[in-house]
Amino acid sequence: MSLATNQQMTLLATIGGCLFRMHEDSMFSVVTMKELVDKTYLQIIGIMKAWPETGDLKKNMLWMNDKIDKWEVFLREAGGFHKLTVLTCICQRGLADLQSQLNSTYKLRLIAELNEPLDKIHGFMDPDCVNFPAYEKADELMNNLYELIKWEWKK
Amino acid sequence: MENRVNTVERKVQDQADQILANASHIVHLQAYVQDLEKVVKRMAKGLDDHAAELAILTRRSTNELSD
Repeated sequence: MSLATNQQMTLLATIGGCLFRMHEDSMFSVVTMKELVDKTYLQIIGIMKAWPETGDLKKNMLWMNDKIDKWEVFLREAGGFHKLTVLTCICQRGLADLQSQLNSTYKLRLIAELNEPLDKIHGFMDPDCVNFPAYEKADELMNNLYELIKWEWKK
Repeated sequence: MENRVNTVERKVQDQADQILANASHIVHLQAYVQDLEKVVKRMAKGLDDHAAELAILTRRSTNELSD
């Protein structure tokens, strides 16, 4: 897998990780939202499965796990990430950044299906998009992740 | 007659090979999906607040002990 694909997969895993956290900690009490989170989580796994893969899969997994472990250390130090709105902001930022940097129509088509559910999940928590501290926290955490995975802004 | 039998045998063999190839592809895909899920769950574990608290507490008590 190329570095770019590993980076993209790490971003998808981040979105999936946030959704799994919401599910595990039963962060939503509203049934429709719980179901939406679970459904979107499965969509992410499906997208990752369909993501074009090349190279040594074991090596790629190790690469991703290494970055996740390093990010975990940062998360521990930064704190304040375990809030539903922050997690939804991370999901939205991850998706938006992926969409802004991808050139492949196939990949863009794959992740397009995430727009609606992630917007709904975020919109439920912050309908007017005014929770600026949550955006700032998500930005702080994501910026560190981008440093770790050496994400380059090409556009 | 013998030729026809050979042709049928070859076709059956080809189909069997194809089925085996598909099966091994499915097994490979299943393993891949499991690996992907492991990566995502590892990420989710990193975002686990309780684990974070535990890590901080452990670090704190280790520091206190060394003090």
